[in-house]
Amino acid sequence: MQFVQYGMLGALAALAIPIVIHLLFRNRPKTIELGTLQFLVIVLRENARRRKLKRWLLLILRLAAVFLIALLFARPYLLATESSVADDRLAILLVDRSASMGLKGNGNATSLSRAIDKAQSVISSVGPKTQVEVALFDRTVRSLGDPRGLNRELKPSAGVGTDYSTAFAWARDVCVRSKRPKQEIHLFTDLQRSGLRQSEAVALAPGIDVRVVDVGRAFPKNVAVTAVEASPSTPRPGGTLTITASVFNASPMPVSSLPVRLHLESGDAERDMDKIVDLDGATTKQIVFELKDSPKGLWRGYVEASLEGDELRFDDRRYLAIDVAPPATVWLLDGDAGRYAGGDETYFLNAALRLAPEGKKYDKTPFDPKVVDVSVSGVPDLEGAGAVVLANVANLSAADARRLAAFVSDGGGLVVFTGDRFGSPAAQSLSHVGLGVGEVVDAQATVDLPWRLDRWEESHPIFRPFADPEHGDLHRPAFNTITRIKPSTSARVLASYRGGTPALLESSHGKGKVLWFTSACDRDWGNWPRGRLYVPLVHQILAYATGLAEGGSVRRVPSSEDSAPGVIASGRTVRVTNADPFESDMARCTIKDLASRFGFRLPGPTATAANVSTTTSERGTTDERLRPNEIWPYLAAGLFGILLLEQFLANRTSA
Amino acid sequence: MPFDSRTLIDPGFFSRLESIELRARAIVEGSMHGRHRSPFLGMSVEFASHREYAPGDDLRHLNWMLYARHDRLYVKEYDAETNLNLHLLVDASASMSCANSGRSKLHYAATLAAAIAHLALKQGDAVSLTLFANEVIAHLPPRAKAIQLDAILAALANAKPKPATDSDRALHQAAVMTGRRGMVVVLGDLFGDLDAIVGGLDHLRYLNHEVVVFHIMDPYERDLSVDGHIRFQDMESGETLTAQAEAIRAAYVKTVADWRDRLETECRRRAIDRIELTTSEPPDQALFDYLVRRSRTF
Repeated sequence: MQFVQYGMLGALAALAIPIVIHLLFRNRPKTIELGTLQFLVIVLRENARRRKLKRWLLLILRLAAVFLIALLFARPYLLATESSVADDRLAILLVDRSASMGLKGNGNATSLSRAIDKAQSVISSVGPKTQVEVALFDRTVRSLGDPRGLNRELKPSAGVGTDYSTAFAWARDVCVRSKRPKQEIHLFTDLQRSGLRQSEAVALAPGIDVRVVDVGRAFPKNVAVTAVEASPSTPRPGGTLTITASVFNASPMPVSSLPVRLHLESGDAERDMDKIVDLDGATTKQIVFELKDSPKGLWRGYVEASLEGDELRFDDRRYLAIDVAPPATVWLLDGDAGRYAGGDETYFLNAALRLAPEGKKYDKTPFDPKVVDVSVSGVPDLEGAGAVVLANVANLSAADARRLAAFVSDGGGLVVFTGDRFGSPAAQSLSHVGLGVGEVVDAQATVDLPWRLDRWEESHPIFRPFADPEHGDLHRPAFNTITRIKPSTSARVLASYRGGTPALLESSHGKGKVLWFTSACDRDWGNWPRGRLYVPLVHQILAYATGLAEGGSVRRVPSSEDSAPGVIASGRTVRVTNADPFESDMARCTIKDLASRFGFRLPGPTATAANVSTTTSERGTTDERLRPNEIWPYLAAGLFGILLLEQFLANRTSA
Repeated sequence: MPFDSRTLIDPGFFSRLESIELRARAIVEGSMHGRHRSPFLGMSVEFASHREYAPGDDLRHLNWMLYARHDRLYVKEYDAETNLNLHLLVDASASMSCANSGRSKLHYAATLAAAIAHLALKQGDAVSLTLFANEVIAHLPPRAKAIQLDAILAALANAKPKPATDSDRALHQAAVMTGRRGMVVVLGDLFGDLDAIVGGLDHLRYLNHEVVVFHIMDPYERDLSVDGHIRFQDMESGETLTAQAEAIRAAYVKTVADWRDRLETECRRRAIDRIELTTSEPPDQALFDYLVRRSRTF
């Protein structure tokens, strides 16, 4: 036990007062004569022992009262935290390791280090029967299993934001699984308000105590690049590329002459641009970099704001990758070229991919379709192409099939549209080279109701944009004839007509994808090219085949424990990982905000200042604040009881 | 401590007493026959006359000679012993000096004794007085003359309490001095060994006396009606005891009550009237009430 006011213990000298009073100032008795004392002798003899006991008890009570009074003013408190009492319990320790916990304090220790120290002191104070669960959290939760894994070598997550909902949901689940009668959660965090952005409702059970330890501090000196966008999103070689960066000043103090640099490199080429900006406190500014005559290539780089004395470095740089490339070449191999343009099998498909009438170009289309009469020219040179479309092709030579297989194996995409000419020979020639999806049964024409798409994989990149019915109802395109295909075991049915008849099948060959659509791409087998869903659907199919449906060659990946901020090439794609921009906002919430959001009760006054410790390390300091483990209420209650008892006994005891 | 004998006389009370007769139980019991009660007829040795037999008369007193002669039953009547010997035994031990109520027990007892003596002498009865403590201090033989009252008053007024450790011996001595059967009135606090005191009362009863005990106590002695830290002093031995009165009151009162109950039981067994009085009660009223009760009974 320790005391807030050690000086008041001097009042214990007052213990001598009752003794002095007892010994020196006893009541002088009044004398009364009685005819005989024979009765008094009997009474006193019978009660002598009891009276002696009462006198001693009275003295003890008076000494105890003085003792308690002195102790009350000294304000004792228990050394161990409340978590050491009542041993059979579950103690969950949630340590925030988001990027913002890398903020250093006055003593050069980061917020995470301080959090780990405090968590370790809690662990060391619990009893042997207490079950301890320790987890680190940012946007995900990682349970440590062994509490000894919590050590100062741990670093904050690189660029990962904070999500209190995830942490409390994990803790809630642990509590539900535990059978311990008493459960408590200790949260060590910098109380970053952005951690409350997620609105998932997490309600803790009523009996769980939650203690929040604040290890953060307000108003750090920090400038962050929170966003970088390139425009256009698919730049073409020779065009102008505009890169807009958002720079945020997290400090309330203005920043002047802040250098901001754009750095891009592609192969041996590099491009750097610098700008100087002034930022008011707690504001975001857009900084625009223009690059003219962008050469072709995959450019990787970053935008960086360098502030001297910046206390959080993880958000100083934001990465980007830009693929400056021409539209993807798509070879349309027409298997039924007509005598006039409108009669070509690929007429509608070509127009849809070109997004422009015949003879015209639309710069923003991602595709550059080229039509070839396969029966005349065969399969062309596929170098540099993104995908090949076989439109109602009757047959392929073995050599052409092999070239197609090599193209797909190398990462290209193959899309097959059936039709009245397409049949088993074409299917077999493709299957022989690994480009098949199953056995062609026959072409089936509808008798009454047209064929319509009945089911499709909504999560597939082809169909994802159609998840919202307002973007188009895929039930509407109608077909009067389809090709029935019995899927192979390696093929995947992405969409089907009524009765489960496959409509769109996918398989892979090497690095590339193979897609078979079991109807024609022109109006021979249905009027669907005239429907408003024809363009977006064929765009999605070709975008998937060419890799553009998943963002093209540049993939944006959120930062995580396994993915630090940066640009990493992976095959034909480049992964760009950046820090969570919300993590740069150091606006703080209060513990009450947390309690109100997650529905837990605070057991008592908790540490709200950054430097208040819940450990026992502060000895002998005069601290006027009310501590959660002070025991003066119990002392006051005990004193009251003792005084009552003393009064009762004093009236019935002779000195 | 001697006090003025005139304080023992209350003319108003004495005049009230004159309306009361002090009757000895034995006389009344012996004179009760048939429908008549005569306070003056009883078991005397002198034949007075004959009267006709009535159912209930003692058959021992039938005159058989008259029956033989007259063929009718007659009983003998005797002259009653109209003189009642009243013996006043007044405790003059040191404990009787207790005067917490303002009047000592001895003064209280003397007042009662004077009143009783006056009543008896007025009736023509002989009254004796014996003062005792550890032994008999003073004794006035029984006399029926009016002047006996003065002697009694003087003796009472000059009584000096003396320490007593053996009151029963004094009772035995006093019993011997009483002489023929009569009425003995004991006035005192009866503190001491209860068995010994009862033994003294037994002696008196053995002599066929009617015994009446006026048990006089100080209010503090009976109830310990005092508060605070008290030093209690024994008036007989001078010993002291200190105690918190409130703390022991309940136990003390119970102990005294047990003793009084035991005393009452012993007196009842011996057909002894015991009248419990405290010095805070007016002695005239207490005595008057007793005599009224007694006159209705006898």
